[in-house]
Amino acid sequence: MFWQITLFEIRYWLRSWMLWIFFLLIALAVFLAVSTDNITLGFVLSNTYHNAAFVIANYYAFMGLLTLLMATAFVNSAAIRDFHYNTSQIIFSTRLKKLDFLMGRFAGATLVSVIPMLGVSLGILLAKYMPWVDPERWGPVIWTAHLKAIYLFAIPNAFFMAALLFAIAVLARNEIISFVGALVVLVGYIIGDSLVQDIRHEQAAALLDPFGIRTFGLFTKVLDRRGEELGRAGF
Amino acid sequence: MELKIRNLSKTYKNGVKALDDISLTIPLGMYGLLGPNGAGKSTLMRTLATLQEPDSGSIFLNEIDVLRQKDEVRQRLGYLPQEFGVYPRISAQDMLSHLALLKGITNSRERKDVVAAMLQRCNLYEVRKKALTGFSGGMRQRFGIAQALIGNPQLLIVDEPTAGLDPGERNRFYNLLAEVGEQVVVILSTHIVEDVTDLCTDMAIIHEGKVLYEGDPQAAISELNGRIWKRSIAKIELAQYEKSFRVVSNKLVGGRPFLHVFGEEAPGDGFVPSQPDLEDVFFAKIRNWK
Repeated sequence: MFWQITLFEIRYWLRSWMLWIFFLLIALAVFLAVSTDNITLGFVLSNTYHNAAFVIANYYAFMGLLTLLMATAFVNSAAIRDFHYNTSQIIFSTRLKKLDFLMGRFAGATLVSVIPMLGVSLGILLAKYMPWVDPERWGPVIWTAHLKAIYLFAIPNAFFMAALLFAIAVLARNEIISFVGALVVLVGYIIGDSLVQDIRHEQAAALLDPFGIRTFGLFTKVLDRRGEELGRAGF
Repeated sequence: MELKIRNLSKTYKNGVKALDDISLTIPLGMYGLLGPNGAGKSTLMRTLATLQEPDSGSIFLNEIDVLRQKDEVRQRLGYLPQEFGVYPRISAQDMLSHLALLKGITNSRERKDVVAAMLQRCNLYEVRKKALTGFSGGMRQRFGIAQALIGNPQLLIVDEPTAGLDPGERNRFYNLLAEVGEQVVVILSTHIVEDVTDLCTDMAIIHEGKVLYEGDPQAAISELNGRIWKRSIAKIELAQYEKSFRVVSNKLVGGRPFLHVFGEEAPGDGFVPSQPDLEDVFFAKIRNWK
């Protein structure tokens, strides 16, 4: 029953315009950031290829902040849909198994939360072929770098945020409380950000960052970003 | 199959006594549960559907303890709540299939067949790919009964199913119910007297959480033989008539109030004998006239 509920949840969202708007917005933001010099996101580098493994990972990490809000929308709906649409009496008088039902909804909504993040890859892949970009700044497409960023950033971020927010939504059954929960995480992150200004806390901040953005920043900061060290680390 | 309800009571936190020592024995067939809005019908239905706990009392479906063996009950239950919604962007077929899954039909080929057959049976096959949110009241109610009937329930609970349906839709709905009503326990809760007259072989009248009558509707009607009188009056006389007679019902016929009054003897004053019907029974019972 778990898998069928998961599949139902995924199919439910694939028909939703919200999912595809998120996807396109992220694709557009990343596309503009990599194809022009006027918009920058995350750690700025001027001496790498625009589609280097490091850049891909950087955008996936940075866009993880948006996963927070998108995952809130998806898992909150998955958790309280039956109360929201008044289907609870029909659904809860069937023989559904609570664990299968909740876990299926959760797994489905989590996987769906990953989909908009794939807009990062779309944005980077498209930007390479724009007529106004300088071809010298673009290397060959490294597919493994895309995959690596997805399993290193997109999936764990979606899972972590979805788990936290799904728990809040199931217990509170209230949309506003879910979004307040998401905002608390975001505010916590921003407060953490100001602490990092002090270099003595750098390491602690990297370990505590739920999105892994500072972790990635610290990890790659010490490496030569053009050279082989970064390559050996997989970026 | 028989449903035995014994001494069921439920008081809500706000002090409303929704069920007050209710005892009913519900046999195979169509059973009408008649009561005005707020009588406690929906509370009773939700309790039978394992969605709500009573404060005290017991319910048994044959040997199954409904209040404790919930999964056993749900295996045999079809429930159409009074009000229900649907998910957006979901077709009748997909939603029905999802509900069939939750009802335990996990084999996907079997589920597909069951869903297709049910859509045919409830006359929804042509619109199976349409979004449920675009359904009319009648179609939505047929979808409601379709989901209730999935999985061959032995206990079918339908709560106010005909509210808001036009006469044609209501008839189609009746026919669907009557088809299954012979082999399973069907509890039809309603405030519409004709629903019970047309469909049910047994009934109960409940009011303010209490059972006022339990038994055969025809027997209840014959109890009133020779005690119902009728006449039409002018509108301005209404208040005065309501004071001096025990008025069972007053309806407008051609714009004039048409009264049914209750009385052991002929009340005179132009009243003529009237053949009692279930509506007279209903109003006489809830006003406690004997």
